Amino acid sequence: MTSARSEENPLQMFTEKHLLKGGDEKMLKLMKYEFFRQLFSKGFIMGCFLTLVAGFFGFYWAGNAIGATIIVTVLNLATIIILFFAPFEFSFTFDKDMNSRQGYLLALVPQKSTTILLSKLLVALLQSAVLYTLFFTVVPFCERLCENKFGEAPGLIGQIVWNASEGLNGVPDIIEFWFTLLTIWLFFACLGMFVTAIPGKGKLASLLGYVLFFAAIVLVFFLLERIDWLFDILKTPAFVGNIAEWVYIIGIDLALFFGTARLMDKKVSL
Amino acid sequence: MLKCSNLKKIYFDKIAMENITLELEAGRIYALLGPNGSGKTTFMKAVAGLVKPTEGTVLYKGQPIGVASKKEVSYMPTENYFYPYMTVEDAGKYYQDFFEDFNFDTYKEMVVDMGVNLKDKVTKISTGMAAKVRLAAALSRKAKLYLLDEPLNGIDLVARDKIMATILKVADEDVTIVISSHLVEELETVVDGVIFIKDGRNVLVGDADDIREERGKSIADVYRETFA
Repeated sequence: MTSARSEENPLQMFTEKHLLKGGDEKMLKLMKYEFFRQLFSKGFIMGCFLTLVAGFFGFYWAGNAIGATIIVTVLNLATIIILFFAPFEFSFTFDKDMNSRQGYLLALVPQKSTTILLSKLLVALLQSAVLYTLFFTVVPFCERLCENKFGEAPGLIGQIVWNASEGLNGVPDIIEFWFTLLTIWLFFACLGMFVTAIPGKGKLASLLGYVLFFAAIVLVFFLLERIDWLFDILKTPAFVGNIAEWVYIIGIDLALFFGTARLMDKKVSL
Repeated sequence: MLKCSNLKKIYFDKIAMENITLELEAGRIYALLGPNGSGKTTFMKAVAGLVKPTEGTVLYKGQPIGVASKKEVSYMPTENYFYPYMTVEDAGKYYQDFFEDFNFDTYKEMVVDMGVNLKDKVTKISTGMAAKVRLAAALSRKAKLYLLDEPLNGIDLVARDKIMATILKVADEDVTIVISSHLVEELETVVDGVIFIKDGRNVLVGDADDIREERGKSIADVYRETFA
């Protein structure tokens, strides 16, 4: 049922009409099952992470500089991998829905494809956000401890975070940073979904899928740079260029999202 | 209730079904018969919404297959499809969460009655037990159309009678049941209509009694004659 408040809010009206019709409750239930499905790999990462952090503190308190430095190096590398791994891992999970019997459970559920896709995206996003937050706060903290006690630390992530925090001017910049990260994360995840949903069979189709995936990334980021360049030439305020870039990426995210839903409705056979 | 017109499904270079045109009426039990790879499963999946036909239309109560039809169509696939982490109980809870016509108590009663432990993981039980779980999940819904794909496969002789009795329990004047099977004799006495599928085409559709009367043979004999 559309509330009086949503009648005044076009975005909410659109969401209720096209995404959440049929009950938010079902959407939450879809998210619950999706959470458990995607939890294993995230739980595994979390387990490794906690073990490494515990190891770091063990070496730190024992005054073992080499041990602590090695663990900080591993955590640095892990952070970079996790940053890219999360949306890709989401695409692999989605691949199981499109190309294995496990997809029956979702395909039989009397819900719109958009609702199903949104629930999957939200769960992946929430789990990724928890991982990112942990890695981007704990790893620089460990680096700083290592540096203070042993004189130096292999601080790639710490450097990025400190440099970024020095360059950021207050809350608007931090919001801008996270919003940009969100739109890019969504782009990778939605592109992964879309490519996975394109019907195909065999190794050639898989290869073409990968080619399409990377070609789309190159094209989208090439055009993003062109937008940046155009607004530089026009000498508009920085926020105008940022908004144009967001609109561009969000537009692509939405096109990929609804394109995937359309493929699921019309083309995907299990 | 269900109307299929010129259904065709091509999987890349293979025609899985072609020119399937038929109508199913409410209150009847149909046997969907044909050898392996004849297109029975593809047909059922198309009605359940898992397969999108390359050509043709499937209309359920006059509407294309979609959210509304999935609320009233209960499909039992031949393969295990529950998530690996699920127990038998979890599988029932999943159905309870998404199908308003699902009765969890009926499901529990059915699986326990068939000798399945609710706490067992769906990936750890035998083929026969897994088939019973899938059947219990499908039959615990109060659906209008049941599509049961090989419900007797992997089931021992003693349990088959019980399963047939369970299937017949859901039969009602406004309920349609489609059962695919190789075990034609098992279905002979219970079906009202038959659909023979050969090489992806429906070669015979009709009332079971009329076919028996016209040909002077049992459905099993007509099956042997058609597919020999």
